[in-house]
Amino acid sequence: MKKTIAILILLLLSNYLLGQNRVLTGIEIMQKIDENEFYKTIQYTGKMTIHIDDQIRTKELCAQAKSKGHKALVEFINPEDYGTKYLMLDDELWIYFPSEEEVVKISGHMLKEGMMGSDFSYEDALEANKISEKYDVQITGQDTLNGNPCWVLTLEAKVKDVPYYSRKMWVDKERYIPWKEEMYAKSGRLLKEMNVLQIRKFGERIFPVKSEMVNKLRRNSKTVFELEDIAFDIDLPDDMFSLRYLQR
Amino acid sequence: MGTLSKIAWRNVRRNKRRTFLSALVIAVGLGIYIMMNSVMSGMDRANIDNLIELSTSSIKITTQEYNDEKESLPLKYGITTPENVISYIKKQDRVTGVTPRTQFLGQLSNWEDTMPVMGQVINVETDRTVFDLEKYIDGDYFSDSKENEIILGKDLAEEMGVNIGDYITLYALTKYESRNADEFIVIGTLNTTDPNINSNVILISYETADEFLDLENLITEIDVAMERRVNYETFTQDVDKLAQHLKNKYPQLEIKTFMELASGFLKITEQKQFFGSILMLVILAIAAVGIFNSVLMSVYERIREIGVLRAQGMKRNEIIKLFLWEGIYIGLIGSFMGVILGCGVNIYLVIHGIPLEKFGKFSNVGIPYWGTLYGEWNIGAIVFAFIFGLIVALAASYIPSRMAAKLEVTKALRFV
Repeated sequence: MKKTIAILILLLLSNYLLGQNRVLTGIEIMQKIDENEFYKTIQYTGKMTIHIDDQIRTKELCAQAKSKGHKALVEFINPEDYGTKYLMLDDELWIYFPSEEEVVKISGHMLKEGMMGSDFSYEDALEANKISEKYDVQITGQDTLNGNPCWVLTLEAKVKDVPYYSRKMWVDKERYIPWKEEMYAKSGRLLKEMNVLQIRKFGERIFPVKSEMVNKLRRNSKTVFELEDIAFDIDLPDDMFSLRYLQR
Repeated sequence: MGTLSKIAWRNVRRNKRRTFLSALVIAVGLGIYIMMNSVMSGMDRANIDNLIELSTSSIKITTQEYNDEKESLPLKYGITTPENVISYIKKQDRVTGVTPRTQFLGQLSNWEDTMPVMGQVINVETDRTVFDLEKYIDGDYFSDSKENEIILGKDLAEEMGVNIGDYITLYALTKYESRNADEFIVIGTLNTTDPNINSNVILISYETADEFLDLENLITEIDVAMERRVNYETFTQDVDKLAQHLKNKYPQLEIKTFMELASGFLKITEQKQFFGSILMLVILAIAAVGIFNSVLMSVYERIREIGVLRAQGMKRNEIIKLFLWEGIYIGLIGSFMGVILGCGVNIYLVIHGIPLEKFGKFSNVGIPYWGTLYGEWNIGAIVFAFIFGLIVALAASYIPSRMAAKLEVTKALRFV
């Protein structure tokens, strides 16, 4: 009996020790990123600074999102675009233009275009939750980025209908922040690079609050996105994410 | 009548300088009319030729779904079994060429800047049987090289700062809407008569595009070239006939003639023809005034002669007829000279044309107005000019001669 108990304890202990040291798979790291960034609802004001050559344009917006981005409403508040609203429902997008008082559905080719002239495409904003479904995720190395030890993940497309044929991500080993992401074309050319510039702790959650997207097809073309006044898990009514509300 | 016409002919021959000057006015007016008509018809023909040979072809075939979304040049609506459609069309009468094409939207990048472009994937062998792009290429046409080759519109190449032999990056979405970008070597530039092609279009071959755009043999359009039989009218009839036949044979496909595809452009051409007719009327009116004035003066100069003829017993009616005969002769000589002058200039216009590039490039008008503009023979316009000259000369002689015939013999003899 004593022997059996000793074996059981040994087994449990070895399982525990193995679990502690077990190397996570790529998919598990992706899940950790999702868990860290998970929210029921989010509300923030944002600033998008678009750099093209020497020109700088700034867009300001208020955003509310629910169900981890499955539903999002964005309203621009800078003078040039004041009142322009975006409604994202899963992978569908509508834009309301106040001057024409008209709602336009954005689909197909248009989703690949830069959002409000920025380097973030509409699709970049819509596809976040589908990465692990469409890519084979492998840990292909380890690296240190700005003093943060990172896993280097390589994502290869499993299917052909993906926005980028392959991606490379540098994920913080401790906090599961994707500090850097490179997006590649089918030919292997680097198209875009995303860098997280600043993170902030909200309770248990560590959230990126400033990031940049660099367009590698143009020289000096990047967009910096900053989040302010962030509030998580507040009550947002469902009818806020409807076409009727968009036209209000 | 015979005597009067003979006297009239003798008068015409006797006053050689007057006859020549009157006929010259008619000739210059009609010559300008014939020449202008030739240039304007030539301009219309050149525009339509450019349209067919550079963009629309005679008949364009796509799927109906593609046609509904053609502005975005989608890569998802390919023609099923295009090889069967192509081989069937090739067997039809008056078809001189059939070729597949696949268009797409993309961006060119020189790593400094990007420019939106309209991509044309072409079949290197058959494209030249339908489109006439090859003669506008500076540099080379596609080779068997394994390298990614690209031909750019000349203005586009200048805008991107690349020359033949340089490399440039083309960015586009694949058939599966995945982003792709790759380097291409510029093997040639396109300097066509269509400014839109020069500033927006790039050409790549199916061999390159199959890999770059994941095409998997996708063909979104089939272009057909047809023989130009007799003239434009018979050509459009032939095109319409074949298009109708293909519509019946392939009801699931969208079959459009160049007249349908370029209806907006052809409407502009019609409007231009209307304004052209007004311009022609003005030219003819100026010619008519000249002719009228010239014949009128010759009648007034001879009122005393009319008085002498009346004194010798010639009736009023005969006087009018005499001057009408003179008008007919002057009209005939002038119209003949006008036709000779107009046709002479036209021979040069038809053979050598007007090199419009010397006058600058009018690319901002959006339709081809440069290159060499050739004249066009228009037999109807020449016959019209001849008859018009005759009628105006006749009318111009009738009114003053009637007035002169009415004068008292004594007054006519004293007329200064």
